[in-house]
Amino acid sequence: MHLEPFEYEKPNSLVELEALLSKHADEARLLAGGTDLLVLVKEKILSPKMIIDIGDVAALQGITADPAKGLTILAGTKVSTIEHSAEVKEFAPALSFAAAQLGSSQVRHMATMAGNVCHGSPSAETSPVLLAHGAVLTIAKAGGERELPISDFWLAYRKTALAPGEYLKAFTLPALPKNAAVEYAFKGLRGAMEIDMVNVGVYLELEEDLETVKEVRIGMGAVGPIPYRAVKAEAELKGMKVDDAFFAKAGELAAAEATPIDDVRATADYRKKLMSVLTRRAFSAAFARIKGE
Amino acid sequence: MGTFNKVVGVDGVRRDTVDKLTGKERFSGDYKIPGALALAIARSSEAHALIKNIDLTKAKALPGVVRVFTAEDVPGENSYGIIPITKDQPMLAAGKVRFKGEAVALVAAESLEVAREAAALIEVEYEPLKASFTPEEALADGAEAIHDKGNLCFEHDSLMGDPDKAFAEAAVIVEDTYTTSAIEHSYMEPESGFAVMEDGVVVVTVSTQNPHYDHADLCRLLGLEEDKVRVKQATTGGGFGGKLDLSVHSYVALATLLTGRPSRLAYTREESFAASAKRHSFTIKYRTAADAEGNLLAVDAELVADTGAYASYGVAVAMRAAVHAAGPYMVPNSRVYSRAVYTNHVFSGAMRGFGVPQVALAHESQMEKIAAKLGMDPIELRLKNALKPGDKTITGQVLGDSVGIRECLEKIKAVRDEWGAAKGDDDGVRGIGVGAMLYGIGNTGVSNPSTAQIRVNKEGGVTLYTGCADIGQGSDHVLLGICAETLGLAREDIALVRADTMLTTNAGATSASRQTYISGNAVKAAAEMFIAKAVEAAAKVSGSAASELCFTGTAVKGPDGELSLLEIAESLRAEGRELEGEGYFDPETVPLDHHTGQGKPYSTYGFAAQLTLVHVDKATAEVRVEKLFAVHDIGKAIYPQGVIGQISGGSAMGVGLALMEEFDHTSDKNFDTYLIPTVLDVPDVEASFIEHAEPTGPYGAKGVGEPALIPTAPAIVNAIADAVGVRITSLPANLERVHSALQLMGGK
Repeated sequence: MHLEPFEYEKPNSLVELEALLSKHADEARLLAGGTDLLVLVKEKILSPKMIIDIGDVAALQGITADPAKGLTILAGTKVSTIEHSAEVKEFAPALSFAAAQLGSSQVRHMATMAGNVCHGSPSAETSPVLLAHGAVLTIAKAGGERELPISDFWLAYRKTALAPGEYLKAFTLPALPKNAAVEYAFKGLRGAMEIDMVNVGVYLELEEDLETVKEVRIGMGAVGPIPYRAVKAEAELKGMKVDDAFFAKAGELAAAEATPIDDVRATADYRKKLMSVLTRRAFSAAFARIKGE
Repeated sequence: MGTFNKVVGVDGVRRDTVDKLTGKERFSGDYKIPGALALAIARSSEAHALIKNIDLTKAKALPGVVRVFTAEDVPGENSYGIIPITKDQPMLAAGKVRFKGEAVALVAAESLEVAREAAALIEVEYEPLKASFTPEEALADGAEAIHDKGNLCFEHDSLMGDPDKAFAEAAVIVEDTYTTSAIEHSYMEPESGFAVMEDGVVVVTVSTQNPHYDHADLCRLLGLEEDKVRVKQATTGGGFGGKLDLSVHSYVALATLLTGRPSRLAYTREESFAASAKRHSFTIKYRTAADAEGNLLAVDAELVADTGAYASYGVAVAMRAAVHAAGPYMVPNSRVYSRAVYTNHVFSGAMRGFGVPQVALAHESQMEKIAAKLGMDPIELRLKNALKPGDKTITGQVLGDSVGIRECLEKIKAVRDEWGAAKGDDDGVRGIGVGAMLYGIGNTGVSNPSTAQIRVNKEGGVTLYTGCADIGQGSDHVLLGICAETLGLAREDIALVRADTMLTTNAGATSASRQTYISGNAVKAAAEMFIAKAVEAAAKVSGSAASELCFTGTAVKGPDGELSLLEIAESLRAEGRELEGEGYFDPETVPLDHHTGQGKPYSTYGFAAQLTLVHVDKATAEVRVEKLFAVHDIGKAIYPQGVIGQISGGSAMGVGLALMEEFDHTSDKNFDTYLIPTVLDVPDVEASFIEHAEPTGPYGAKGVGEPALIPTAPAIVNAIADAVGVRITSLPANLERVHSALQLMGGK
C-alpha cells in the first residue's frame, strides 16, 4: 500500500498537543487507535499532511465516576478499557455492552470511543448509547474549552462540530437518576465483525409510580447520514404509561422518524422495520432493568 | 525411536500444530528472497471486450520497472486448465478479455510500489462486447460468444429406467426450482508464491493444492521440458478448491524465466476476490415422484451452473452434480440434464463439494415436501429410501459394502428424540431440520491414481515421499499415520518429503475428498512393499527363510539376530537395487456413458446426515443455528480429531452457504461486504462419525473433507421451514429473504 507522505508527531502533554493542533489546524489529523484513520489514509480518502499521535498524552487517559457529576471518560481511553471498566459496567452498562460489540477484540484494544464518535460514521456502535445517555462532550483547543451536548456534535455525513484546532477531550455521562435505565440494541448481518444495519440506544426514566414515563431519549444509528435522536417520538412518548402498547408505540414512532437508505447491507424498508423491533425490545429491556428484573 | 503403539485411530497433537501456532511454519510470503522482483498485474476493467491496443510506454518509463509482459511474451501455449478437454484460460489475455479482473499485463519491478504504480499506468484500449451475466443470457439467441465454441461449456445427460412412466404412475409428485449463490472460498492465505532459477530450472514455491498439475501446465505455458520446471508446495493456508487452479504460479515463473531473476507475487485480498475461482451458482429444476407408501419412484432434474468466463473445473462440477442429483436414496428411474454455461463472471471452479452442496439443497428439500404430502416423518421417509449395500445408484453402480447412510439416519433420529419438540420463545420460533448426503470419493469416472515411495534415509530411518499437498486439512498427519501403522513405527520416526515435483511423484489433486482414501492406499502399498523387500533381502543375507523373519520397523529380526535397515539397504545396493517401497493406487471406476450417464464414477462413497435446531426471530427474520449434530460415515478415522475438525469446519462453511454467503460480482471487493460466519454465528457443532469400513480403503478409510459441509445447508433450510412454515428455495436464506418469505405468509 502506497501512502501519501505525511509528517508525524507524538506529543507528551496537552500543551504540546494543543500547540501542534493550532499550528497545523487545517492539515492535521489526530491518531488515537488508527483503526479508522489508517484505513482512510491507505485508501487515499484522506491525505493529511500531519498526523498527531495522542498515544503518549497521559492526561487523555482514564475513566472516573462521580455520584454527582456522573461518568467521565477521557478521549484517549481505549474501547476495550471502556468495555471492561467496572465503573462503566456499574454506571453505564449499555455503553459497556455497546463497546463490546465494536469490531474485534484486536480492534477494541486499539480503537478509542472518541475515534468512533469523531469518525462520524452513522452506524457507529457507541454513538446511540451516548445519545441516549445525553452525554456532554468537552471540546478543547489551545487556550480554551467548551461543552457541547453530543446530539449537536454531528452536523452532516462524517462532518462534526469540531472546528480547526479543536479536539474532543472527554465524554461526560450525567449520573442516571433513580428509576432510569439505558439500553442498546443492534442488528448486523452476522454475530461479530460487521457494520450494523441498524442500532439504537434508548433512555427510559419513570415517575415515582414506576409506570409513567418521565423522560425518554432515543438515539438512532444507521438510519440517516448521522446518528440522531428521534425527538418527535421522544416528545410523544413522554407521560405515557409503560405497557406493551407503549413499547409498540415507541417502536412505531422511532421507525417513523428513521430515514434509512438502501445499501449493500439492507434495504431501507427492512431497516425501518428493524428500528421498530429493536426500539420496542430496547425499551422493554430498559423497563425490566428499572424494575430490577 | 518411539516405541510401537497403534497409530491409526489414535488422537494426539497434530504434527504441524505447534509450528503453526508459534509462527515457526513458513508460508511462501514468509521467505526472504534477496533480489526478488516484485510483480503486479494489470487487470481488465471490462467484462467482455476485444483488446485493440495495449500501450506500455508509460509503465516501462517508470524508474524501477524491469520489464512488462503481455500475452506475446508467453513462450509456450497461452492456455491452461485442469481438465484436458477445456484448457481455455490464458495466463495473460490474448486479444480478448472475458471477465472484469482478468490479467492483461504483468509488470516486474524493483519494488512492489513501483510495480503497482506501473500496472496502473498501462493503457488498454478495449472494444466492448455484449456481456452475459447469467446462463440464460449467455444461451439466448444473439448472445455474444464468449469462446469460439459458444457459451455452452459442457452438458451431461443421465438416464436410468423409465422416468416418464414412473411419473405417470406416481401417487405423489413434488417439484420446485432451487437456486444457489456464487461463493468465495475465503481461505486465510491469499494466493502467493515465488520463483527462482536454479541450474537452469525454474523453481516455483507456491501455495497450492495440486503441485503436479501445476508443473504440467507451467511446462505448457512456458514451453519448457518437464525437467526445467520444479514446483514445491509451500505451507498452504487453506484452499477449499480455490487453489487447484493456477494463480500466481505462472506469473512468477514467466518473470523469472525471462529475466533470470527471482520474483514473487502475492494477491491482495481484492485481487483474490476478483481473479480467483468461485463456487458455481446453480439453478435446479427438480421433480420427484413417489408412491403412496413413500417409496421414491423417479427424479427428473435439470441443472444449470454458471461456470463464468473459463471452464476451470466446470466440467467436473456439472458432472458430479448430476451423478449426485438423487442424494443417498434408491431411485429406480431418473433423468438428469446438467450444463455448465460460460458467462462473463470471474470463472467458477472447484469448491468443497463440487456441485453436490447445490444439488443437496434440492434433493433434501424435495424429501421434506414428499414427507409433508404423505404425512410421513421426514427421517422415516429417508430411512425408507436410504441406499443399502448392493443397491444401485442413478448411474447404475451397484454399491459395495460401506454404505452407512442408514446408521447415520438412525443416529440423528435418536438425537432428535433427545432434543424433543422445538419450542419458541418471546421473540421467535424454533424448528428442527434434517440434511443427508452421499459423496463419491475421488474424481468422477476417470483414472485418478496416487503414488508414494518409502526409502531408507542416511540415518537408517525411513522417509515417506508423497506428492500429496497438505493444505491445512492434515493429510501429512493421516498419511504418516498410515505409514507408521503399517511399518510398526510412530509418526515421529518417519521423515516426510511432500509435494515437490522433483522429489515426489504425482499423488493427484488434494480435492474430491480423495487423499486419505487414494494416497492413503498408495502409502500403505508402499509400506507393505518396503517390508516385503526388506524381509526378502534380509533372508538372502542371513540365509534364513523369509517366514522366520520379522520386520520391526527399524530392522529385520531373525533367529540369528537382526539386520538394521541400513545393513539391508547396503546389501541391496551391492546388487544395484534400493531398499524402497513403491505404492500405487487408482480407484476402480468405469467412465460414464456419454448418452446415459451410466457407469461407475467412484469406487466408494462417504455418507452423512446432520440435524439442526434453528431459532427464527419472527420480527427481524434473523435465523440463528442453535444446535448442529453431524454424523458421518467415513469408513475409518485414521486421525479422529482430524475428522471431527473437518466436520466442524465444514459445518461452519455450510452455515455460511445456508445463511449469508452470496458473492456479488459487482460489489464484493473484500471482507468488508462479503461476510462469512464468525465463531459467533456457528453453534457448537456436535460432530461424530461411524466407521462402516470400506474394504478397499486404507484400514477401511474413505474421506470426509467435502461431505463435512454438504448436509448443513439443507438441514438449516429444512429447520427454517419447520419453524415458520415457509420453504426457502434460494440460498442464502439471509435476513431479507427470510423476512420477505415471512411477510408473504402474513407473518408479523
